[in-house]
Amino acid sequence: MSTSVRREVVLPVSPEELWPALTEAERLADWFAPDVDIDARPGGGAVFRWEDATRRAVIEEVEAPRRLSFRWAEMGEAGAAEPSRVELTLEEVAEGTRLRVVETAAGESLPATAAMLGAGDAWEHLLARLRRSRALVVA
Amino acid sequence: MTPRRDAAGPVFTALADPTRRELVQRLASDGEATATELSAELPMTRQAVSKHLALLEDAGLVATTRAGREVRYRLNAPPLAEAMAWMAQVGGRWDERLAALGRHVERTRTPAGRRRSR
Repeated sequence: MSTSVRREVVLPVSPEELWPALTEAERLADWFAPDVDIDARPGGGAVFRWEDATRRAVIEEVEAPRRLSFRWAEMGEAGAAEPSRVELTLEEVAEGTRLRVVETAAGESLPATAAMLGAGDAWEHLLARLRRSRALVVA
Repeated sequence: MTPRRDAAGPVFTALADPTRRELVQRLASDGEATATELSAELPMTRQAVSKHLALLEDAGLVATTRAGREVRYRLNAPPLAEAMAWMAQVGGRWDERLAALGRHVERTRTPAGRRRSR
């Protein structure tokens, strides 16, 4: 197990209808990033550009319309950061499609930031958050 | 805004166990302790405590000081802060993106999906 973030959302369309929104540049540009280049094939590249950031991705798995995974990292002044892995899975449900997102952190080294913890149960709270999948039903 | 380069793989594995969370909490309040001292406060053997402490040390959550035969453990908090920062940031971004995807789907939905209602 590594550090990861999980989210899920249920969307009122079929997996087949949702798939292009996740894999086609034109559709991605409408919600994900204003400027998108993507070659949604295993080994293909993708670039997502926002006003203040650019992320590059390498596509890993593509199983239309069920599963898409890639590694990506932000392009910083010092070159690329260590990439994290993103997995998107689509599951057909009565209300449409359940889309699950899992982003898993890459590295294990831990640069120091401000010291924290001490009193309180901040980490307990955080663990609960880690386990919780957020379900947003778009009706 | 920029996601941190590194995050804490083993940190959450280490903290997934209630005993280890208890140990972290003790170290947070005691400041420093040996495995023997900690085992006296908890319903487990010193050996069991040592194993858990070793795992916490591997995860970078505790640091040790050796004084003769004695090993003293103390909390090393930055990894937690790092993991928390990463999760808050990455999770927050996905919340925003998925909300945007929901709006996108609403905008682009084809009439086919509503045919049923006719």
